[in-house]
Amino acid sequence: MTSHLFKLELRLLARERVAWVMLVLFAAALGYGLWNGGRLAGQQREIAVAISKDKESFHAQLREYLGRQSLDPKAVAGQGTMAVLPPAPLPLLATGQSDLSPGHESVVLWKLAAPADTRSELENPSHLLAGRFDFAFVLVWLFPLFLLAMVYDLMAGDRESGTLRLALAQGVAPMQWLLRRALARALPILALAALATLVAGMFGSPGGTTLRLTLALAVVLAYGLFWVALAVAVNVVARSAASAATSLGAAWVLLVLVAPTLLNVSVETLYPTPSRPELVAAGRKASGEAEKRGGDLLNSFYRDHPELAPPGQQADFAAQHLTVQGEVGRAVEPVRQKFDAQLAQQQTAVGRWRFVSPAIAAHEALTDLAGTGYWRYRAFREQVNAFKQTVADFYTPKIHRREPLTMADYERLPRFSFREEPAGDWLERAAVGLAGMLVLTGALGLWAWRRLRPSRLEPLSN
Amino acid sequence: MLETLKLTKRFNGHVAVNDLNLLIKPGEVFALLGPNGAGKTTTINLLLGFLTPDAGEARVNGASVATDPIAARRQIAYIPEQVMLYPRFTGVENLDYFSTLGGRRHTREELLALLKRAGLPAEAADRRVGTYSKGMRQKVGIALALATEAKALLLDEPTSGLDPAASHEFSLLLRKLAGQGVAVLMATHDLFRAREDATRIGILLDGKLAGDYATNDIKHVDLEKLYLKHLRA
Repeated sequence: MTSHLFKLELRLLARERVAWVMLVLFAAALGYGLWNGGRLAGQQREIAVAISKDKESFHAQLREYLGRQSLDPKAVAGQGTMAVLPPAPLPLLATGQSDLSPGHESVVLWKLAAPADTRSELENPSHLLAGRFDFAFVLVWLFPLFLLAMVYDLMAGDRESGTLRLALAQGVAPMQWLLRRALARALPILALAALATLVAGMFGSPGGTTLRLTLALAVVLAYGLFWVALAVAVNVVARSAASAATSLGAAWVLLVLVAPTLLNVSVETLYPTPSRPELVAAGRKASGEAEKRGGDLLNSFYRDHPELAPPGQQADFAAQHLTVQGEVGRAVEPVRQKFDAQLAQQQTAVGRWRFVSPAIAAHEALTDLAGTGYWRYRAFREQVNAFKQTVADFYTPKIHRREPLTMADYERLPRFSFREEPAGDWLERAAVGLAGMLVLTGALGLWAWRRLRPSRLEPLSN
Repeated sequence: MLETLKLTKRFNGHVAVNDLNLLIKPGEVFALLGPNGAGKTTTINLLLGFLTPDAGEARVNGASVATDPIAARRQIAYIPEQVMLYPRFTGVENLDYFSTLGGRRHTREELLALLKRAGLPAEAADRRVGTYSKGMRQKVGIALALATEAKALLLDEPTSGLDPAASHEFSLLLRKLAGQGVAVLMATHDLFRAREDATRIGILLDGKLAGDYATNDIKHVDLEKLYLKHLRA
């Protein structure tokens, strides 16, 4: 019975021309989002490959040189080394921070105190401001609209036309009827979104991402089901298809446009980040002051570290620069720490308040699972900062002692290797997001069920 | 069997159905006459469970509409004044959809046979309902009543707007159903059809049953005069 009715509901939907138009438009939007995300992921992958080749070539040359002769550590340190964030696990799923935060950074001994977050590749600023038309944009913003276009009139139109009375008179449980219709009408859009998510996971992914992809699929479906549940709840009370459409349109504006903006403004107000110019200015000021006191600083440094002092304590330019840089780093550190702490607090607040809108929860979960979210980029920044210290610890003593770099040092040369976040961390965040969306969906469903008990048909049938 | 026990319904202080006691036995056709606003449709809505009574109880074949609404509705076939169907479905698809909702699955051949029994031309069965006249939609409604094999039939102005031939066909079907033991409650303004089809005639005024006559007992009485006498009383 149920499957036969489900088929009849699908047949009824298939007779609506607008349903086909919506399906085609949604498929086109998904395709464009995937293509756009794929293009960016491709560019980033090419950059990563090029950097990796450069690094290999540099290390091969270095090994060859060191095999023949020792080298001045200043010369090698000046070449720098690239810290690269490996391609995201599911890059097509969400662009996330990957077009804003750099996925690689040149770590040069002489520039360790310089702010890190500067991009090397060119990007249209308006793209950065508006965000990309990526797959996550289609899923978070447009998916609900296409879904609502299919399910806005689940029962309200029947109520208006009178078919609802005839249907209810057959002795069907109203909630069962409504749910079957909701699922049948939502099925084509949900299936298309799920299929596109699988495509996003299969292409451009480095592999070993089954768990991430499964969770992403669950997030997409849970997000879709939330909107279906909302449509069910609205249809329980709406007296006409037009009023149901208006209410659901307003809900979309509120949950997808207004709530994320309000949350963004609120966290910015509660946890304001020091401006980037402030960070740069602090560095410049500290740098200027430290350079003026360069000689004094170096003397004071050798007083503290006599083991590093060269014979005769003749300071050269490089040693002085390193000492000045150390001072600048220490001066800038509180501002940088404040910047990072405020960013972390903002993100924690977003995590805590994401359930004010499932759009926020879904976007957070998708970028997290894609590996383009805040936490993976933060891990990269932290690991780059730690790597800078490793570079400084390796080269600084040699430069102060004027020790040459030999073949024995080759294997100990600092090399950056990104350690992915433990799976438990992103799994927990995504699972909480998913559970939150399911709870919201369940709450809406429960409310609708309570309103639609078979013995309470009065509000529906007049 | 259809039964109401001291059934009462008020709307904003106005009593639409007042302490109504009705018992319509299997095979009886009860025509409920009354002016607009007398409470005829409200009575039908109470029997369908579309309205919650303020007092009293409605029962269908023993099942209480209030406590066992699904079981009660599954024993009812309902034909409203305007049978509203899905215009994008054909007649046979509409019949398939609504009868399956009622828990009865029929083959296509059975559905076509039901539509034929209801008097719908064979060529119309596979046409979209959007092209149907009111009479044709009414026939799909009758086919639905036949498909559900209900124990009780609720009719709200069923012949309103039907041409005389369609109205006559409808009467024949109604008598046939009653002959099969179905209890019929028909709210109508059509005194002619009431006298022709009903076994009992009730006159409802301000939600109260002002008169209840066996049709055989008033065979030689002018029904219109009797009705107007009640109205003026």
